[in-house]
Amino acid sequence: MMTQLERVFVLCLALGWAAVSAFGQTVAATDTFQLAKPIVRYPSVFFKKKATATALFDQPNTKLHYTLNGQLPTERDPVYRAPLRIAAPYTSLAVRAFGTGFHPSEATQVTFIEAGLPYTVRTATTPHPRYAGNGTSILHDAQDGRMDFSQPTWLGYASDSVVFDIQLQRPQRVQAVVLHALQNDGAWIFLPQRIQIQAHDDRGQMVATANKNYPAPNAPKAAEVLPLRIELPAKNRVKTMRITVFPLAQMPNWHAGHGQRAWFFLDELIVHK
Amino acid sequence: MQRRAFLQQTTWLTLGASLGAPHTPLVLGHGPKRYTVDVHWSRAYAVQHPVKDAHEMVFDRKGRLLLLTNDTRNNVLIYSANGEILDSWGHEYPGAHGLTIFDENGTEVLYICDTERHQVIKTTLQGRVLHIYDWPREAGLYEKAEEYIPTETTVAPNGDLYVADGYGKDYILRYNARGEYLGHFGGKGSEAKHLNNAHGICYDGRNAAQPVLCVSSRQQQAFKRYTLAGEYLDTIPVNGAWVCRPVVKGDYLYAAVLQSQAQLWQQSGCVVVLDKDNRVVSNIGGNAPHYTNGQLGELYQTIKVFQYPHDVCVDANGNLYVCQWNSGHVYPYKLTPVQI
Repeated sequence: MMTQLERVFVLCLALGWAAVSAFGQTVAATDTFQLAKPIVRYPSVFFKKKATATALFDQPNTKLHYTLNGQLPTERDPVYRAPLRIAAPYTSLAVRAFGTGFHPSEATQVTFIEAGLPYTVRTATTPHPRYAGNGTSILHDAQDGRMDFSQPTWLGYASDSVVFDIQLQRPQRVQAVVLHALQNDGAWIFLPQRIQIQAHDDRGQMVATANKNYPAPNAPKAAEVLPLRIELPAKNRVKTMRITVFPLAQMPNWHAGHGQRAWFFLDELIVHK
Repeated sequence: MQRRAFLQQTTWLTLGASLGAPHTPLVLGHGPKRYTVDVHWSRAYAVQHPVKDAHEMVFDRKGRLLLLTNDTRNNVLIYSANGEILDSWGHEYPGAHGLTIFDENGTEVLYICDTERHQVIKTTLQGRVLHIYDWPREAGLYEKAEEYIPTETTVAPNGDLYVADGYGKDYILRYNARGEYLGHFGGKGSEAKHLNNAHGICYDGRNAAQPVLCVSSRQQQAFKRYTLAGEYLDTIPVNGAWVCRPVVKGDYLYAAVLQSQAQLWQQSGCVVVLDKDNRVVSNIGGNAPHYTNGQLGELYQTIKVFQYPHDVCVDANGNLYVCQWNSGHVYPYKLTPVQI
């Protein structure tokens, strides 16, 4: 038999759970719907001179607005009318759909990145056999892997660290390294928790180091491909670099796989002068 | 495109708003298959009748809608036509995924595919187990039960049962009415006859002279058709659409689209309708279907009505019911046809 206090507690639990459940239904099924994110097509996000982006959204009585600085587009921003030509070295395009009677869409965001310096991969951690792609050559083939991580343009890792030793064709000043990585928590793929870069000159002397941390998200995130850019304050010319990636050691508590190691997926590694 | 056709494919929401019509309902879809949507059709309460993933549905001959969920507190919910819960049963199907109904000599029976038990379970409409189809050792295709992950079944008029191993090796296993293994076809591979994520299957008798089996090859965004003996016939591309099981009603074939290839894992589902010539005539919640030189343009979601729709069921009046996977524990939505 339950005491009166226990009955109240159980009732509160039931009501609370019901409220949460009912709320979930309401949120998922409102009567005014949101527009979906527009489709943006492009040959690759990596380009040598310029990139071209084409937006698709075949829904009557809607318009697309866009920005080129990564800001969330509003109806005051330019209307998309024709394919966009992008030439700035690092351009974040955001496109969003608006229409009467609908909530505006979320933005489709794509960052276009100028191709980097040529290099060779001297050694690299072996990817998981199921996601070995076409080998490390895909890291500088200027082909971006899109969202489908089963494609051979991706390398997938389930290890505690991932190391790439690369060598530039000749000693050069380096401004930044960009890792093009996948975020897809539904597939247990997270951004790494840390990236470390060590740069050496042609005599093997270390000339710069950089570290960047990425906190684990505290809620589910939209699946997307993200450029992780790490500035490298190297004053001297760089010949070789060791890039060490530390995948997220423990997925967060809200995730079905909490406590377990996350996957890390990479499709391009770019060195910018 | 002809202007008239264009107008027919236009969502009427803004037209209604511009005329000052209050509360003009949103009309979804295109051509002959356009609908209003009621997301509150279900009268179920989550405390009493919870759902986890709402996977598949069938109507029985009494007009009751049976919904299969992998919530083991009530694997089967039985709805009245007005969305009231009439009954529920089932606690032993953690991987409840596929639900098929068949009239077996005047008695309706159910086939439940359980992806975690690696079995197909035949039951009465009240849930009494009649037969368990265990993993098919006799086929010589599998070394252990875990390799076999059945997602869907269909039953031919002669009682032959076809099981789609849609999360396993993508074979279609065939049994006779006595439950004896007869053979298999499909499977993974690069040839036209092969399947990639054989998620659903149906007996398509729209052409009475040549009934066929229609199988979804979901990650290929296509249906593939086979003879009842399992010989490959042809492929129906549904570009961009991760089609779940095909559902035939009248002259049309309906399918929930889990997501759009262009918007992977972004809750980008729709529902497609194909006519008797297997051309997409409506993409409910998405862009209008267009054919150029016989090729279907890519389908994708434009309105977030659905997240991850997993099955569609059609009643005698042409209303659609759509249930969803991994979409916030939602109950089925009802879509009512709109006449032009």
